[in-house]
Amino acid sequence: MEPLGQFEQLVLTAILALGEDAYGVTIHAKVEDLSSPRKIARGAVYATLDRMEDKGLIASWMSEPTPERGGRSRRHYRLEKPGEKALRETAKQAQRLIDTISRRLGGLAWKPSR
Amino acid sequence: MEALALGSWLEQMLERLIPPAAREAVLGDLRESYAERSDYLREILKAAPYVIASQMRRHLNLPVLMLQGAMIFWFFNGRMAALALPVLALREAYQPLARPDPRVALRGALVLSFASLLVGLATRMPLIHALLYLLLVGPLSFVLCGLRTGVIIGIDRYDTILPDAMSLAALRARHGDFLRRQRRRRWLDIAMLGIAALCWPRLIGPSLGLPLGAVFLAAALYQFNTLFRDVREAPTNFARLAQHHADEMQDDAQFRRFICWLWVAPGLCLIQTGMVSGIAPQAQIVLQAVLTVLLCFAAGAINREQCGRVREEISLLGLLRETPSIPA
Repeated sequence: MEPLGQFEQLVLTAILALGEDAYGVTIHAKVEDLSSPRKIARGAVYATLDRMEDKGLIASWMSEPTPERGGRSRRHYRLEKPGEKALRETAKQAQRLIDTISRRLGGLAWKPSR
Repeated sequence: MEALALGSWLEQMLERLIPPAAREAVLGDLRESYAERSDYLREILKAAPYVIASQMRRHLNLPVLMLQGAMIFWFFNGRMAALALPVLALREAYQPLARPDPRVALRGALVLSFASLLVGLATRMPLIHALLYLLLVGPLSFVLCGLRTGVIIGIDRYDTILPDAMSLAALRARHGDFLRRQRRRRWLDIAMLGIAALCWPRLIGPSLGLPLGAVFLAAALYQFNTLFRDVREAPTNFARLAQHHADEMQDDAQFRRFICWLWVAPGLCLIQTGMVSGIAPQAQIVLQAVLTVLLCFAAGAINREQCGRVREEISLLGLLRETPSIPA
């Protein structure tokens, strides 16, 4: 499986974090939160969601229409098995990076954000 | 009041920028996020390029696009083909999600016939020729409406029947049926396109027939290649199988649209090279124009109805829910 791009990692992580509530608005907000202070174009999120759906990493379904959306439905997203596997690989890679950096630059005071 | 109407009109125009496949979700998200109309419209403009590019990528079938470019190159010239290719790619992104409303379709037929009438009358011609023109083109509206109605009724016979939910086994069976039908149709396409490729140089002369035959041959080779290229095993996951099935239907529909115009092209060519002879030049021009309009209208109508039917089925596949399979 080809490795995930950085933006794809952000979007998949957002979908994982949001669970059942993952749709365009919430995914965009979460991605902006994860990449803060960088601003994220909403259109870029949609394009990435389409691309990952075509790759089979996520699947989507339409909800019932709601009045606050002008009578339009939401497109919800969920992680598929290949998406979960890709995220696990990403997490392992990130862990290897952190371990290598910590070993070499052990003197750095690095604190997790939460 | 006027400002309100203009604003509403502008809103509708900008909303149409978003391709139909993404319109519901994207516009709903923007409506939920932005209460102010100006913010809403600004965000549509910002999101539109990304969404359009994404839909173009999703719906692009490069080999079919190349074949379309080759046909336009043959019929017109290289510059026209270069201009047409991005437009064709963009058009794929804006494919409608369903068949056109019959009333809209018939209204289009009436508009086209009256437009043809006005364009013809706008050219200066002697009174007798204008009367002849009216005589030939006048009934055009009835002919076009009749043709459109016939196409609508013909496609209605193949109404899409898809339940709200089905099991994985039933979806696999449906997908298998589609693949078998597609395979049979491909063999038929290969035979007919191959024979036509050999016949056109004899029928319409080598100067036009050879390039046209080459396009027909390329189309036949494309179908041959799709029969024997590596076939990926169908996904075992329900959602992925439904998506895979939808992608295959979309690719097939794109090729069918191109093939419809490919079969019309020789007819257009014969009309333009003056198959109608032995009558007054002005009447010949009018008859050529009428026949061209009829052929192009018929091809366009068939494509819109068939494409709409396929898009309806693809939309229903997107909404399909999985039910547990009944154990044997």
